[in-house]
Amino acid sequence: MTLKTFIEKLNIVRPEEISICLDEEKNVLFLRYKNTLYQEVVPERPFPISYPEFVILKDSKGDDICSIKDIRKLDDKSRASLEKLLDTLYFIPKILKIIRLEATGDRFEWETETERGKRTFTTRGRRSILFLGNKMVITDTDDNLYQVEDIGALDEKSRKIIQSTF
Amino acid sequence: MEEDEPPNNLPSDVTALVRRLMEKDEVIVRFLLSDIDEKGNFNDQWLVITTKRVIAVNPATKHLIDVPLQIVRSAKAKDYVGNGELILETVVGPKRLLRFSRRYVEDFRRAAMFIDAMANKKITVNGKSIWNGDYWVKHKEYKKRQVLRWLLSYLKPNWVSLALSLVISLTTVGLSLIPARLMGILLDEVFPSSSNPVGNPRLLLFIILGLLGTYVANSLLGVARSYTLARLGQKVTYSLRVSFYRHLQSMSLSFYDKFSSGRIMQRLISDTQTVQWFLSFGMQTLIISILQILGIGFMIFTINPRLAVIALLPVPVILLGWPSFRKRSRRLYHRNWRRRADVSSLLWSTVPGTIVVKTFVKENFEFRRFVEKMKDLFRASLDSTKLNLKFFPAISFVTYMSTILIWWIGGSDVLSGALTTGTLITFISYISMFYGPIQTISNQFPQIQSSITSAERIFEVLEMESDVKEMPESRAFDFQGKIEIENVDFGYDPYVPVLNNINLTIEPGEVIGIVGPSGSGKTTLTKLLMRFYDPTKGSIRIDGVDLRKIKLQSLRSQIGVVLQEPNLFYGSIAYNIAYAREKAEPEEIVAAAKAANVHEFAMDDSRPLKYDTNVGTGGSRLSGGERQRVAIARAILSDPKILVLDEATSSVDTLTERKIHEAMENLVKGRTTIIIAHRLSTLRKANRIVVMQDGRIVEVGTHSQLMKTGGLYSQLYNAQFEKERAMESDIDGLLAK
Repeated sequence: MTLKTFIEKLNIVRPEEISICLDEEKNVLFLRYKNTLYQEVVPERPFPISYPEFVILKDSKGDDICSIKDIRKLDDKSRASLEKLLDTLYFIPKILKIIRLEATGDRFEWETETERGKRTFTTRGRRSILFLGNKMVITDTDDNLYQVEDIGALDEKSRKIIQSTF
Repeated sequence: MEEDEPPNNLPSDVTALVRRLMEKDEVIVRFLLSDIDEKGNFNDQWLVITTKRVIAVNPATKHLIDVPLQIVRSAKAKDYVGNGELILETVVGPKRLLRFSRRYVEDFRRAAMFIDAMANKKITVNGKSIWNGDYWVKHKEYKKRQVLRWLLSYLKPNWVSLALSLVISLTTVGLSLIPARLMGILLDEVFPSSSNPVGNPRLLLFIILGLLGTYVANSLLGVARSYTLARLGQKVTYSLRVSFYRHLQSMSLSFYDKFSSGRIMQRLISDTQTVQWFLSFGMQTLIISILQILGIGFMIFTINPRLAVIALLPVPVILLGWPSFRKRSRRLYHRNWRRRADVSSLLWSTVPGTIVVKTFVKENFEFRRFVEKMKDLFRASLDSTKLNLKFFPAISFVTYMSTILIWWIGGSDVLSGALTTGTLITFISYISMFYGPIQTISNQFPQIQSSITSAERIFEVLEMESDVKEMPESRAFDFQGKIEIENVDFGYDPYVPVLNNINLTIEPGEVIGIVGPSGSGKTTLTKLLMRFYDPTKGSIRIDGVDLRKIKLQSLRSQIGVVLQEPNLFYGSIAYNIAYAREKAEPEEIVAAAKAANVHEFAMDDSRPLKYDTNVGTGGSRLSGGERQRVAIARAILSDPKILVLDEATSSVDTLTERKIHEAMENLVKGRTTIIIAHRLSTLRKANRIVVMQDGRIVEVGTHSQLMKTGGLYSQLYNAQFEKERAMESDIDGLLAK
């Protein structure tokens, strides 16, 4: 089988084919797709960092219903509902500014300003920092995740801190 | 290795001996030199082929073996350890003709084929002798380009900065000559003396200002020079590394078989660094020192030729000792290099293999091995130090002696009034400046020598050519997927055949299983298909086009390979799947991953970053079964026309194995596929099964055909059958739950 047949199985939908609405209490989604209403739908992000726009929707039994290539192209309401839920399921705040980074051997103390406010955390070991192209993912000692969306877009001082450390 | 070239003329004494045997209409057709005589010593012995006979001649001992072609049935070059023998099969039995060292194996193989063809009347020689040179193997000629000249070729694109730095260097050397001159003027004209009782106080100010100006200019130019030369060195090192790495990537696998990764890495990383030291610092000092020697040499001759000659007395001594010193030093530094490479090779093999070392509790053993190597390196380095200490202090001593001589003779001249004090002081300070650069060169010589060694090592690799070359007429096209393998012979060592006369045609879309005991040549055959190596004989064609005429990029991008031990790179799961295609869309990655059963473990809750999870160096953070599946996903994504699956031998649990099988089945559908199977159950879906043994194809057919014939396949199958059946029922039981 060629790759094409496997891609067809993913069921990639056009943005206008679906509408999504959030079930705030259960923290799941309602999905209307091809005249069917699905309840308790859960979104999954296969590439939370490198391609966060790509989302797979799963039904309550855990089977895949369909995939959305770019959630930013959905209608406003659907998009807002989906993003709100994704924000809970994938909480990876973006670091806007690195105020201080102190390295003592294997241990790094970070003082940062994220899109969700100031945050100080500790990482340990080279493995806790992952570079994906121009992006950077940091896992702290408690398994919290942070990301730098574009190292090149950071302010001068933060960039210098990263460059002089890694 | 010019001595390996086959000779193009038959020596007259050989011709004379052979002529006596030959009839009137007989002509010498070919001849060939061997390096082992009839007693087994290294001496010349000739093989001469005429239109009517084959002769072995030793011109020194007049030993002759004459075999008429009429009685020859076949000829064969037999391989032994370290030598070989040409044997003629005749109507009266085998005739051992002559021996040859392995240097000429290829030549004598051809000779045997040629005699064979002549004996069987496949070729007729029309009475004209043929020029020898065309026929025998062309041994590789190594261009003996001077390493330094080659290094300079890297400097060429940067000639502007090179010229600039030379001009600056020249100026600084000139400037450095001024202070001593000023000192002479100070002593002779500014200070009061018998001829000039007042002195010249006003001149003092000029001298001070002149000195100040000189030093300011010198410092500024010094900075400029260091910068231009350092930048130049770094630029050259950069292009050296880049071209070296590009060259490495272009080399065929046989190159990597010969060199350990440690040695390649040492060349790429530390050798280029040493060369950079030379280019940006060593060369700079060398140039300046030489300019200083020339400049000062000129100055002292203008001041006082008689004293200058005395000053140059040590030069012949240095020139005489230099060549022998350099020769020994070169040898020692190359040994140092090898010992250092031994250490890094050891580290490259044991550090990544730590788990094995620990498993077998070999820490102490490895430690001792390391210490041994370090001791060797220590001793080697000490030897070169000792050599340097023998040579350079001797030179210093000779130069000091000549300085003493100048003090003595010059001093007497001043006393007699033939020389002014100022001139003598100027002269003596020039002399001390003259020996300065010589000292500098001596001190830096060890580093210069070691960087030349490094340069030679890099050069050595750059001079090598890939065994697998693209022909100029090679082309790219879309494959249908038909594979024809015709009369293929191959050996990694050309004389130890791994594949023997392989013939196989595979239709587009056909699934072929290859089975056989390990070492039977299964994997090698697929390596030839990828053109990692070229067959020594015969040809492989895809859609009727010889592999050698297909662009490598086109060939390899249309053949997907899943190896036994898949290689994953440091990076995310997504990166590893998309390795075959840089700009893969996310849905392509997910689709391939799902088909290969990667999706389920990539999306596992234990992996918060999902496909963006790093797999670690070599995929170490995934299990063996997971790595295998990532490799399959990679192959699915690349959507190849032809697929080669080397089934993993490593045992995974039965459920994982089933997952892998599912993945493989998804991959195989609709492609020309070659599966190297270790579990025969994999082969039920194969259209045909090829059974290999000792580098030959021994059986071809479908499963049921082969079972009927009761050959090797049925034996292998029956042996595994019981085990397989037990396992199958296990899985079914598990799945039913």
